[in-house]
Amino acid sequence: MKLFRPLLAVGVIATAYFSAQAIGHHAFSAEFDPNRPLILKGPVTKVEWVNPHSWIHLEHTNESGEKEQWMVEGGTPNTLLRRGVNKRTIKPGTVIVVDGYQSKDRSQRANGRNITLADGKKLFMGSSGTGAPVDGADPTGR
Amino acid sequence: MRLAKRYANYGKVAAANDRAWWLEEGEDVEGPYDDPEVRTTSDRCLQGFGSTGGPPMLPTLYNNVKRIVQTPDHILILIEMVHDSRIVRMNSEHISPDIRKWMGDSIGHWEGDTLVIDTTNFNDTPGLYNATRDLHVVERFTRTEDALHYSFTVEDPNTWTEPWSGNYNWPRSEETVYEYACHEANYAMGNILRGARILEAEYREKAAADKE
Repeated sequence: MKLFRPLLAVGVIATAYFSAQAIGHHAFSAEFDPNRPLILKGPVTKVEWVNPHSWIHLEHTNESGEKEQWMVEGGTPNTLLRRGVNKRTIKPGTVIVVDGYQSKDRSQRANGRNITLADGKKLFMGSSGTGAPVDGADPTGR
Repeated sequence: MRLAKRYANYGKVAAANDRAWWLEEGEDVEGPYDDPEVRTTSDRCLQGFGSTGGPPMLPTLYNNVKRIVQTPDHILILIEMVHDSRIVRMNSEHISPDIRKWMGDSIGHWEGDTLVIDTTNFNDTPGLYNATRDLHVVERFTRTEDALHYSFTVEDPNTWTEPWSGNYNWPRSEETVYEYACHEANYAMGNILRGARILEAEYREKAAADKE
């Protein structure tokens, strides 16, 4: 009984445990297609602050000028909160640019790497290490 | 067998993402995306990935915070990832080997200032990569100035020729432990299965065209 104080919270600093199994909640390659990178731009319509992954919805205007409704997967709410990103960081109406990869079901869903705000500020969406391609979006990516 | 096959497919999935390679062996062979139950337990939100809840409890990409609660008879270790809780019975015996659990059956005792936890009775899918139901894990927790020193030894004759060990520090933290209710909106499962159906349709179409 002498070792721990009751309710002792122990945080384990993620010493990046990369292996064949470091796949995130789900394997990136099971859900998304690394051969379909995309850039989406438009106003945020909804933010789903949910487990196991957050989803940001936006209205993208394609090359033909048509409006498309997309949803983009981000990191877990827990992880984003610890990085200072919360449900109110990106309000509906905010114009964002999303750098990501389309889902393998070819629907208007994507995995997000980065979000860029109008002022150039970048929010990292937390998909690194899930098997997403090492594309330079994450400077610590390997 | 089902499990072994699933993991054997991982490398292929990453290498060939653009076609339904699992149909190459025939339509009757079980594929890695046939139904939700052949997906990994982390895809299914049943367990965290990378043995985060273990045992042994390994550091993974995120949500590594733990909370430990003690009573005289039990120790609870709450693992943030997939909000798993391990409940360790102190100075007890293992339950019948007929009863199998996702995180095994854990009993504990003190050796001086070190807490020792012994875990057996796993089901067929322990959190530890490649482990089987015969996994046996012994964990040791020793308080240091600013951390818990965690060490473990793993045995599983079905997978490893001899026991192996690891250790790392769990730094003390004032972090809030958040809930991680993985099932809340697991859109990934639907996306994964729909994607596989599309690749399969394309594969069959191409196979039919090649025949003509």
